[in-house]
Amino acid sequence: MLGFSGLSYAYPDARAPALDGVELSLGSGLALLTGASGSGKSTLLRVCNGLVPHFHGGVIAGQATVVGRDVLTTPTRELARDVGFLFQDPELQAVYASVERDVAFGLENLGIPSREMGRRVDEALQSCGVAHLRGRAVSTLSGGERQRVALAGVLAMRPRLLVLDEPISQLDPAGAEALVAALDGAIAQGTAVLVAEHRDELAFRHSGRALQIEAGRLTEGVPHSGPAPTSPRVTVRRGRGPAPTEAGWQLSRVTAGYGATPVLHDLELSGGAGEVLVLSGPNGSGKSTLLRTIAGLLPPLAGAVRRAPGRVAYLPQNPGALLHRSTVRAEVEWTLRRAGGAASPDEVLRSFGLCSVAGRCPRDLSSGERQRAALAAVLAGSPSLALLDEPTRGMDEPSRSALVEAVAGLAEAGAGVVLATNDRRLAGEIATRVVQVGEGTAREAFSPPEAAEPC
Amino acid sequence: MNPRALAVWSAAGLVIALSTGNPAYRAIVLLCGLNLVAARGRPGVSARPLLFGAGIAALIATLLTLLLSHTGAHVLFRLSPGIPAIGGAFTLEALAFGLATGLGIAAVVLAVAPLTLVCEPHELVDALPRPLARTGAAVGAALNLIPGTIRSAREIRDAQRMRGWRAGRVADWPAVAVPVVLTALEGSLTLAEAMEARGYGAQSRTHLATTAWRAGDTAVAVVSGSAAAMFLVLRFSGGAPDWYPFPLLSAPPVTIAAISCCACLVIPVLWPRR
Amino acid sequence: MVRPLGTAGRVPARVRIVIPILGALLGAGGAGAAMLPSPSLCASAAEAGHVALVVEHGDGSIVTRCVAFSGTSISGEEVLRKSGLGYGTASFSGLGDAVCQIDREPPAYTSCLPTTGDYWVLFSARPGGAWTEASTGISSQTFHSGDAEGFRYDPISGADPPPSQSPAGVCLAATSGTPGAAASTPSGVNPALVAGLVVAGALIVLAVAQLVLRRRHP
Repeated sequence: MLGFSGLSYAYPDARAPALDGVELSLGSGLALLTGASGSGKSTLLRVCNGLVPHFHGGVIAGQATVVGRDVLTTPTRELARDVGFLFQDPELQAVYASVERDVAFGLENLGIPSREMGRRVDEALQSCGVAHLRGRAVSTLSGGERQRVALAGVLAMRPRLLVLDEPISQLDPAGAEALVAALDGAIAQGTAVLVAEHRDELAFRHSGRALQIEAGRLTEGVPHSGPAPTSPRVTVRRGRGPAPTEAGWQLSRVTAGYGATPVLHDLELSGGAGEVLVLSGPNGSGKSTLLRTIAGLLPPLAGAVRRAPGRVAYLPQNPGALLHRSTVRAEVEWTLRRAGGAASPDEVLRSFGLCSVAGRCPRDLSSGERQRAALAAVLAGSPSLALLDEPTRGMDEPSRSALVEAVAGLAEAGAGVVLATNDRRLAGEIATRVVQVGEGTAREAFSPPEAAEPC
Repeated sequence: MNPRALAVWSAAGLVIALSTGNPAYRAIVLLCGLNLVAARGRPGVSARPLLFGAGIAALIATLLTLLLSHTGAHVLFRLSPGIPAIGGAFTLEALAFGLATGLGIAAVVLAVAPLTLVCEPHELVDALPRPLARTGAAVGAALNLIPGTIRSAREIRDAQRMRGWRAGRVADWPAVAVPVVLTALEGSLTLAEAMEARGYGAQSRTHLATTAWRAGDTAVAVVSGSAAAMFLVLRFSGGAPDWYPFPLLSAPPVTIAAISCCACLVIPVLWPRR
Repeated sequence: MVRPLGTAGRVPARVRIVIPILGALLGAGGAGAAMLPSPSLCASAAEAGHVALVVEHGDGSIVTRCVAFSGTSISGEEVLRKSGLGYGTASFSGLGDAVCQIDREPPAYTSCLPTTGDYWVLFSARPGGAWTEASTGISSQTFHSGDAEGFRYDPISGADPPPSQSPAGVCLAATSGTPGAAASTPSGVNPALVAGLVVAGALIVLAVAQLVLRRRHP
């Protein structure tokens, strides 16, 4: 199905090759690819359907054959007949506004006759469990639904090789489960599947090969089969810091929402210094709304929000988007200059492991480094209250550790931290309190789970 | 309703409204357009901004004609001729002609308005002719990026505010503008990658027809098309005389044949919806 | 395909209400049109009268004007004044004013009616009739609606030929027909006008009905 031999590739104007002498041969079945961000994972996947080198340019050497065709000389639109690719971001894959039409997009490109198209679209929607969404507009769907519709669009083309680049990293647990279930069908039918993913939901459902890539070099890992016994967990000192004395922030009888429809009704909630409060709940339950209300970005429709004086740090859902300076150091300095704070930029950079990339443009970094840079930019100085919205979405291990360290450090220094996340592992590692947000209210959950299960 | 049938209807309305200066025919086209918007307008989309705009344009046309053309037999009042451009007599004929011009503008707007108020945007993109289908896909994809870009702009602005940014001088705006533009560009690159990966760029494309062509669409297209053609024939053979109020105001001449041609444009309203 | 909300079952009711209203209006309008007497053209013409003015210069170029006036008659001088052409007159007692200059021809003059050269000759025409030379000056000429006034720059000696352009047709564009030609003007205009009004009215009612129905069943 797939054969790479001596494959090396460097992006245009890159300092180091992204792929370095990769040898790989793949047959049918599942193969799981893991590696830190910037290791060449995405690049390797994109060789499978020719996006590297045809879309991204650059310099390529070696041999790459996929479904019997030479990648270097076959354009992507030819390879797309047999190789399906699912991307990470559910919102950046839909071409048409209606589900039915969007799923048919690939078939239109292949020149499938219209009559056949209708049938294939039905089939694909059925196999992904989204047949009930057929007449809907794509913009009204949730992230998980959109990702499944995108998968349907790919499966409708009946590829022989299915490549997925972190397909569930942006989804909440429910959406991730649904997508993995949809994949099962494809795997069962004998399609070769190559997946790159950090998250655990995928790794332990099927047996298959495990591949690891680091700095452009591919190595074979131990083939996994079924649920693994334990996963290495980061132990973090759960220092309590100073006891939450005076309330850092308080919501009294707050109704919050956008426009006419409130999302949260009559909330009573408060948080103090030195504690880490985790907001958990499915997507759309109002976690982001609650965070923005606490931050003061969204004035409440009713009730009062009180905040102790001090700097408030707010990390939005797509943190890499807010980077705009020319170097990472400049980005950190920008925050420090405006928000005050005695810390020096070097200290901040060091605590986030960014010393090596301090002089580079933050938008050029790999996704993990970018997220760390955004974290540093937002949390620089000593905020007395830190609000983070889904910080581990799409994060790799080194960045996760950096985040956990940073949060622990903040709590120890006496700041209050409020985190909205679906990541149960993260909640287990750092939370002192957990609040369930859903159905318009926020209820205090029982003490956070001491041992976080892998899934 | 199928957007192509509606496009034929709009073209018919435009042909009639633009080929004659007679306010009677223009008024009928306008009323048919109003009816179509009232009957088939998409729920949730308000026609008011568009109607308001058409009204303002018509009013401006009327006022301009009244102020600048000083011919006509019935003088309403006079300004000293010394004043440049607007000095002179303000006549009833000029007012009438201005109203007819304004009516024409409003009729043109209402002939084209149903295309956006009745059809969904993606239906319009779908209805592009085959050679433009690839462009339609690109346009549709771009349209899909807009809500995300708007949302990310708001998030970026909020996030920068929390970092200490204040919206003050113009020099402050790059802190929001630059990341928004960069994020939008990155998003469009990602979407382009996704489109490539799904085979976009092939020469021979087929088309999934989602909006079917029904009997009603044929009726609308045929009736509107022939009404416009018949009107043109009448116009150039003298059966639909034009109207010129100067120097003396008179009622616009109408003929039954021309009236019926214009009234045919009401057909999409009367045809039962599926 | 995205369908608009709430389509099922709503259409038949709407069509059922609207078609009878439309039919009733058209029927009433048609019956009314058949019963109305066609108003006389004189009634509309009495609002304003028209006199055609034809001026033929010495070089043969012709200027025409259709002059409108209110009332039943207008003097020859008023016609010239209302036409907007510049002119000059001189008074000849007993005969009224004579025209010395029209539209800058001659560019300058000392005596109004020279002994040699050209001068302006006044003509008048009744509706449908030919030009006849006037015997008195323009101030004592009276014109009614449908008449025509003509001037020709003729040599003072010899016969005075009338303007080469007939007055008919000069005032046609402005009005729905001169009273004199009543026989040839079709009187079928009015039922069409009524039909047009009926159609417009029906469309307005239809639009209002749509809006009301829409509000009632959102």
